Order: sequence, then C-alpha cells, then structure tokens
Amino acid sequence: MQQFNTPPAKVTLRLFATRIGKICSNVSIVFLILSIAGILPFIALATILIIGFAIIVFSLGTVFITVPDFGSKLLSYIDISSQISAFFLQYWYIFVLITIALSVASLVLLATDKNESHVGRITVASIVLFITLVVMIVFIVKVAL
Amino acid sequence: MNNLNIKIMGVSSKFHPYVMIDDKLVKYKKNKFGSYEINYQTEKDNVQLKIFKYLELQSKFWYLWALLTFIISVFGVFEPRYDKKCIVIDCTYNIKLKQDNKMIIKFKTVADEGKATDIEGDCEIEEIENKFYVDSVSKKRWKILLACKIVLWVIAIVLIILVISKKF
Repeated sequence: MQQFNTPPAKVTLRLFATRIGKICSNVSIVFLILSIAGILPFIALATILIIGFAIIVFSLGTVFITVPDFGSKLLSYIDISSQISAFFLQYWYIFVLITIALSVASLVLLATDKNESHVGRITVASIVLFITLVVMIVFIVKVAL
Repeated sequence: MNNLNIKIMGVSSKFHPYVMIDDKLVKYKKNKFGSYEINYQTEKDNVQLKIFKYLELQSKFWYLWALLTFIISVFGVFEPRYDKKCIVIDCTYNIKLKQDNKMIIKFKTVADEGKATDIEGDCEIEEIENKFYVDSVSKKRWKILLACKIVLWVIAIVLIILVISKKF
C-alpha cells in the first residue's frame, strides 16, 4: 500500500527556503544585466529587443493583430535605447543593491541547506556578487570623477 | 552505550533522502570517499531506522508555497521546476543493536517502483519496507499546479495584450 508522508514543518521550511534561494539566484542574474545596462548601452538595446520578442512569443503572435504597427513601434523604441541606458545609469544604485541583496540571499539560503548540496548555484551566485561589486566600484568611480 | 555506524552509498545530488532513527531526523556527513556517514549512539537495544524522501508537493500548505513562489518568480519564469516524476522512497528497518554495529546502505538507481536499497551489516536487521514508488497524491497535485499555471498564464497573456493594445 502506498503511504503519504507529510514533511515536518522544519523540512517544509527548508524546502521552501531552498526554492526561494534558487529563485533569488535566477533573478539576481537578470538584475546584474540591468545593473550593467547603465555602463554598456547595447544592453538597453538588447533588453528592448528581448522584451519585444517575449511579447510576440507570449501573445502567440496576436500582438500583430491587436497592434498592427507593433514592428515599427518596436523599432522606434530602439531609437530611444540611449534614453533607457541613461535611466539605468541614473538609478544604477537601485539595481546594484537589489542584485547584491538577491545574490547574498541566495548564497545564505543555499549554503545553509545541509541536506542537499548546491555547489553550482552557489558558485554562480558568488560570481554574480563579485561582478556586481566590480560594477558598483566602476559606478562609484564614474560618479566621483 | 551502543554505537551504530551507518554508511550511505549511491546518494546523488538530485536524490537526497532523509534519515530518521526512532522518529528523529538524523544528519549525515559526507566522508572523504564520497559516501555519507552517520554515527549514532543510544542506550537502547532496538532502534527503528527510516529512510525516505520528501517532496515539496507533500507539504501541508503546498498550494500556498506554490502560489507564493509563483508570484515571487514573476509568474514562474524564474522558478525551478517541481519534481515531475514524484518518485519517493520508503525504507524502514528494525535494528537489534550490540555494542558496536556497522551497517552499509547502498541506494539503487531511482525507478518508478522496486527495491530501493541493498543493506549489509554486522547487526541483526529486519526489513519492514524497502521500495521506490510514485507518490500518487503529489503527482495529482503536480497536475493541479500545472493546470493552475496554464490558466494564470492565459490570463496574464490576455492582460498583456489588452494593456499593449490600449497603450499603443
């Protein structure tokens, strides 16, 4: 006969914490890219293209029916990529702080999991944290100069 | 005082079981040979050893956790997948202890059903349960979760289209 085991609260919380840690690790990579977008303007351009592509995919192409000139409007947004880059440059500290918070949270949550090892994700989170700190220094130097 | 030394072999990073001795969770440490080890001391002459795997979808408030992580992870975009196979293990042994006892548990390849472990030891071991099985409740919950995600995704897509068509 099949049994059904409900995990104890401690185990449930541990599983949940690990899941949150993995989510934080994934989201921190996106925020790292947004943090770098202030320094490298082409990232802002790539972000617009990715968002446009995501809209087409997730709407299953119906966006071209609801917005017939979607393509040309997307291209007009590409023209203002320098403004978007300026936005990331203006609010760099928000993106950098969020990236640091997310990568530290993922490091803590995954490193404290004693039942399962997450070497790969911990390494990725450490690299993200390191790059974010470098980006932060670059921004601080840029602002100071 | 009786000593029980348990070596657990064949544990992969994707299949980490929980070990309980007399209904208490026991931690195990990785040794230099890559297997895991438990050193347990007790005054008792008999202990019950349980090895099992918990799935996230087995927890009491699974739907709340799932909903919360679904929202946090931006509609599941950044969320790791739930275990689709829902394979769990159920191993229970009664062990009669001497002063020093050694036991080796070797895990077999994870499968939908069948024997989960091979056991060797210098103590008297009575096997009560030893199997892999698909947890039907978790499997059902996984399907419910998938259906809910699809519904929420459709709603989100409709909303995105509405917002974009109004904005442009």
